[in-house]
Parts: sequence; C-alpha cells; structure tokens
Amino acid sequence: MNEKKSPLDLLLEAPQPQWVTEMREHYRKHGWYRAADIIRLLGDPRKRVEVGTREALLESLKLRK
Amino acid sequence: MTIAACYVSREGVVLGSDSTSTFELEEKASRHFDFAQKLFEFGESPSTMGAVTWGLGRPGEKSWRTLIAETADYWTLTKPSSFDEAASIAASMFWADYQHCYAEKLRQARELAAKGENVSSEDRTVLQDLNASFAGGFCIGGRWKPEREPCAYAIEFEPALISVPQPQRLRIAKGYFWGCPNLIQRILYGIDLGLLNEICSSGKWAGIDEELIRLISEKYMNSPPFELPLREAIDWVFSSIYTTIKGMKFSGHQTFCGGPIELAVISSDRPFRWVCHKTMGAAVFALSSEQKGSRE
Repeated sequence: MNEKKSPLDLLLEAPQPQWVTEMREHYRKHGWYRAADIIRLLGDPRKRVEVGTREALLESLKLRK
Repeated sequence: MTIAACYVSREGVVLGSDSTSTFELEEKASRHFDFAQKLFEFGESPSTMGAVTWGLGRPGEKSWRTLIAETADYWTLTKPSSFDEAASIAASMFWADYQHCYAEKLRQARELAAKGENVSSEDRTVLQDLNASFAGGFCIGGRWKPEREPCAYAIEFEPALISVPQPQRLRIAKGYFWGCPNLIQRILYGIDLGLLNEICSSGKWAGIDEELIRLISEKYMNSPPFELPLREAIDWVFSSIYTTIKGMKFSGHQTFCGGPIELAVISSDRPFRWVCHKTMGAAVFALSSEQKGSRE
C-alpha cells in the first residue's frame, strides 16, 4: 500500500530547481550572477520591506499584479 | 548588495547596515569586500543626523562619504528651515552627481522602461541588469535642530527615473529594510512576496488573496506589533540584519551581504551615537586575527 508522503518529506526529496543549477553553472563559468538570477534569489533590489502589518503585505501584493 | 535598515521611534532613530561591497571586475566578474562603510554620521561630530546607503556602491563621481559630507556643508551654508527641506537638498545633490556620472546608462534604462510591456526579452534582460547595478538609495535619519522629534526620510532611486527622487518620510514605530528583500521578508513575514505572488497567481489557491495573507499574518509574521523601546529597537534591527547575513552565508550562494554590522542611533536627547562601528583598522585586525589563529 502506498503511504502518502508528508509535505516535509516531499520538500526534503525535491531536487534542486533547474534555475538554481543553471545559475550556479553560469557563475562557475563566468564569475558573475545574471541580474535575473539575483532578483529571483534575493528579490527586487528596488523594493523596500516595510514592517509590518498585513496591510503592507496586501499592498505589496497589489503592486505586483 | 546590502541589507540596510531604519527604525523610527518616538525616542529616536536607529540606522543599521552590513559592510559588504561588490566591485565589478572585467567581463562582469565581481569581487566582494567586507569592510565597506554604508552608515555615516552626517556632517561634523557631534551631529544630530545620520545616513545609511544601499544599492549602488558609488552614487556618482563622488563616494557616498564625500557626497554626505558635502551635503552637510551645504546645509551649514544654506540653513534649511526643516528636515523636509534638508532631505530635498540631499536628494538634489545626489541626483546631480548620479545623472552626470551615469548619463549613458540612465538614458538606456529610460528608453527601455518607456517601452513598457512591449520590451523584448533581450531588452528586458538589459533593463534588469541596469536595475540591479544602478538602483539604490539612502535614508537620512535623526532630528533637525532645534526640533527634538526623531524623523527619517528615504530617498530611493533607479536608473529609469526621470527626475530627482522625492524624499519619503518614514512612519513612526515601523521598520524599513532595503537591499535583499526576499530574506528579510521570510524572516519578518514568514514568506517572501515573490512566492506569495506565485501562489496567488498559480490558479491553485482556491481562496481569495486576502485569506492567504490573513493566514500568513496571523501565524507567521515575526515583527513587533507595537512601538519598541529604543534599546529593543536597536536589538531588533541588529538581529534582523544578523539573521539576513547568516541566512545568506549558509545558503551556499555567493555572499551578497556580510561583514561587520554597523549600527547607530540618534535619540531625541542626544546626538548621533555609534552602537556598533568598525575601526579604520578593521580589515587589518581581521587579517591579524586570522594569522594569530593559524599559529595556535
């Protein structure tokens, strides 16, 4: 009988995402990160983080749509 | 990259930052240094103003240190009547140097940004590169004598901006962070907004967006729900920066922020005071410590 895996098990078993593999490969080859990778990794450097109410969360979400 | 912070309370303003700076070498290769200064006392000591910077390592032809010193000199000459006016002067002085020094890059960014959604994927990559390299800002905090009220303004910029950035007054009893939003959002909100947006946009979230936000904010938000006493605010800013630095250090990626944490406070009754500040010999002493360690 197949036992359903827990979310934690699924998370731990998840392979490294393709974009991370490509980012590391690019860094290894060229010695710098592409801006798109940095933004995905760290977030948009133009955006401040304001702490912190749920209104701020909602506002940030609206801005991105 | 940077992690920079400001907390404004009724008792004073807390400013903080890491010390990593990144320099582009040939063909975009980069090098990280650990002893940059991003937090400054504004003008001659004892001053009642401080500034913390993030993003672009050098605002133009001048260094941040020089630009801040010159701005303070200009304030002394022109005697602005309010913090608001002083912040506008600082923004204008920054803008003059920034526009002059990076004119070609800024022109390119504006042209690409003007295309809006019609931009090609190649151009989008160029614009992202420009934003990553030439965006940033600085926050001025303290009190404008003879006023006692603590206050701070953020001046944020990006290369596609077409006019001098307007200083934005920061709100009391709130924390502000700049530089690498994902990590600090995960610490403080329990999730970064990129992931939150992906979940909401995936079509697999059956509820409305507000329900998801309520779920997160009720269970996972890790920010102080009330105004902190000044020393606790210092601790909170320090802890947030420290956690971000360590999170990055152990992520397995290149270090984008790190080095000694710098903290300063300007209270309603005292001038600018350093809480954590590396000495001018910090890089030398760090090397000495390594040598000492290797002998033991």
